[in-house]
Amino acid sequence: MIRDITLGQYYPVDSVIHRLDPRTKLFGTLVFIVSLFLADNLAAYAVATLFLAVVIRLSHVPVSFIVRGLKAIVVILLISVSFNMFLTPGTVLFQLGFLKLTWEGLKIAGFMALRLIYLVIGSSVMTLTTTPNELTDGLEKSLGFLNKVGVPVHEVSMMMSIALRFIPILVEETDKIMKAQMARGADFETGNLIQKAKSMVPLLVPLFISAFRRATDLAMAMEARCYHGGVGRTKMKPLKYARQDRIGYLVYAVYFAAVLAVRAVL
Amino acid sequence: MAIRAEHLNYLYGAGTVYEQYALKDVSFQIQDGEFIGLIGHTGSGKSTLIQHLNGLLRAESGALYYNNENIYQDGYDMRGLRSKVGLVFQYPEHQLFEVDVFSDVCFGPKNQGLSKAEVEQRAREALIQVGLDERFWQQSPFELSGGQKRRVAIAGVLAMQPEVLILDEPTAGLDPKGRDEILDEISALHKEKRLTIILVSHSMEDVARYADRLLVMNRGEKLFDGPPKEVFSHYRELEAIGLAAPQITYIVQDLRRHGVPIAEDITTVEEARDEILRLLG
Amino acid sequence: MGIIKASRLIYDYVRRDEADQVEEVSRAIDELTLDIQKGDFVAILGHNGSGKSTFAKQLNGILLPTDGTVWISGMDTRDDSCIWDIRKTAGMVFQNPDNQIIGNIVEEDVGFGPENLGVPTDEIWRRVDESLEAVGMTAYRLKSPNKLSGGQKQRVAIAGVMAMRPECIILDEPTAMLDPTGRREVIATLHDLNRKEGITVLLITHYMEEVIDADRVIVMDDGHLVMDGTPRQVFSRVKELKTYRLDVPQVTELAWELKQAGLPLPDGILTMEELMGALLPLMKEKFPEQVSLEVE
Repeated sequence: MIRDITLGQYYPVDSVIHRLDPRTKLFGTLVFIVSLFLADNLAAYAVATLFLAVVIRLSHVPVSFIVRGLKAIVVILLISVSFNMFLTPGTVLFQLGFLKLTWEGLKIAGFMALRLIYLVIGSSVMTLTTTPNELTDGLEKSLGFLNKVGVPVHEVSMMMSIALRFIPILVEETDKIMKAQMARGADFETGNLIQKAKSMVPLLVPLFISAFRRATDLAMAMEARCYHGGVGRTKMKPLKYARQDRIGYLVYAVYFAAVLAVRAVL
Repeated sequence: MAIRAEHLNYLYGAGTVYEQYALKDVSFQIQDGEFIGLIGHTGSGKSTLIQHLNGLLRAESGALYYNNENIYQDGYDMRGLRSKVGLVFQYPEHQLFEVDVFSDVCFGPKNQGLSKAEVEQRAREALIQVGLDERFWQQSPFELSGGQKRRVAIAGVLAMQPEVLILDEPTAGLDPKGRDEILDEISALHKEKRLTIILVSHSMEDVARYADRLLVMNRGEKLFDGPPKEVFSHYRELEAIGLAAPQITYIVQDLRRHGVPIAEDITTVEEARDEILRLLG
Repeated sequence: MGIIKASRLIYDYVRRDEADQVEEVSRAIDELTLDIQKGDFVAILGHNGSGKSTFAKQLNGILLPTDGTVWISGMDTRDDSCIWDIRKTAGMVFQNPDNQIIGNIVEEDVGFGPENLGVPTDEIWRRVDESLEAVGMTAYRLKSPNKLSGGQKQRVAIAGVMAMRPECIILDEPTAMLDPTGRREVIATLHDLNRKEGITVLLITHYMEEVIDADRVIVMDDGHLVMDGTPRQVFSRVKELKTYRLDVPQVTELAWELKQAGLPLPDGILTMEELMGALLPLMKEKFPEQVSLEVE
């Protein structure tokens, strides 16, 4: 299941979306998320759908790949949808015991589900088209003003970048440790909650020790390559706005205006 | 008969663009008490194969029998199989977790549901078998040297009293002496405890010295299956897939090419020395 | 003075208990004196725990001497103001390929060192191009390191060091976690860099086959330097090597065994060709009709 999470993964193809400056994409994602919370009718969602469809098309990332990322949120989705469906007061459509399905509930649940799905898809499109390094560079630069209030922006973004690199390595390692312990008769599946939690010890101890080991090794390797924080560092890929970014910002403006207009008019 | 595999197939990433056979139509038999060397380079399918033998992975198609019982039939006791077919993974760091060596070795037999006395008895026996000195038993497994960790990991599986012992590259990262010591321990287990051994290795020199029979894997398929001397006679094919026969094989082949009447089935330094001295004697 | 020089180097690992009191002191390096010439390919052999990795970490200031001195290109490693120059001059490659690659894309990882050194952007790109070319990894520059084989990852790590324009590369058991193909790949790359770019290579290993082409072989045991010479000189002392928990390649061992049994063979045979050259005349003498010295 952990392999299905597309959020945070990079899909290596070339496209106009891939070439956008990460700051442009970060800002665009922000605009899109805000628009989702403002959209409260079908027409506004139609605009959002169109926008998302065009972006996905331009990104050259297969739709099936993006949709797979939704598997990870199915449970959250089902829970929030059913809560909204049955617990919203209003015109009763159908009743089963104390559960009342209302028209209003259905509507809210529908929008809610759409919002959640678009939210995940929207942010996955950003991570799928932006390498983790670009992403952290973008964050570092956009949030640079926080440096003044004492937030170590460079360190935090370096940390994020390294974390992203080690996720797949640790996922694989977890799998190996599980198998090594299963070969010794460990059982990770059956038993009650307490037994299950206890059975995690043989998995978590080796995993933590390995992670700490990797961290010290990595720190040594970084020092050996003259890493000494963000001061005096140059960039191999400095961020530079280009023509497509200016177009991007224009598109956002138009899109945002369209959502607001549709919302006001209908 | 211990293990019989019939037409095993296993796919990685089934249904995606990355779909690839990790095992393709693999069949073989392993008799009780054999010492098998399983060879192949990274990605050849040898790691996938050994995980099938104790049921950690399940083939897409094909059948696998342990002591003539189909392990894929409904209700087959998989956990029971895992204690009969012991698998020691490559890195001991992946399994050591307890506060001290002795408790760590107890983990396997404890999972088998044995009494405390029995569990401790087995752990003691296993630690003695792998030759780990008693002064290490109460130490943290994380403070041991590479070779000692490896011994604890092997003891952790031995304590379950398996009939078949599979070791995935037990010598990786050890220095030459450490490597010889571990291999000698394994060989002793084979001789004294009559365990069936499957040794996974990249090193032709190592398997030539210990194994009765070699299985060579390449791209998920079984390429060769036979005694070392027979497999090494295919040294050209072995080279083509990125493996090489032991250096000794090349020397013998070269001598024969020059017309020296040296026996062909020589695979170790000792055999070569004796044969050359006999010829010149 | 050579590019790497150690004089009466001592290093103690100190273990402290919770109250910060010294609990145990173990000497990892004991009065090691060594001088390595620029442009040489030097191999350091030793069993696990012989002190060879500790020595490697002394060479770019990751560890500092307890006593004695280490100079890199004339700079004392204890001089704080030189530390970045030392690390730039003596680049280091470690054992585990996964734990030293920082970038999420090959080329970004190679650029990491120059970025830290404050090299201008254009120059970083030039260095990344050249370094990837030098280790033969240009075709993989846009790949994720996670998709590479062990040997390829180590070549990326070497490129990452090369991009800092070092004079010397120190490799701490770079092949211990690789399969035979990966091992050959890495060793061939190192010889290439040594020959073509004139990089001084210091290879720490316990695989004997990897050192027969070195200019010089040094054997460490228990923190001491115990053997020092050409591969031929060192490998002719098979018995002594075995006492240091080391081994020799099968060809060398066979030649040595035959010599012990009284055959007139030269000392320190390293390759199959040498063994054949010495053995065939003896065979020809014994079987004059059957044996031919030349075959097509």
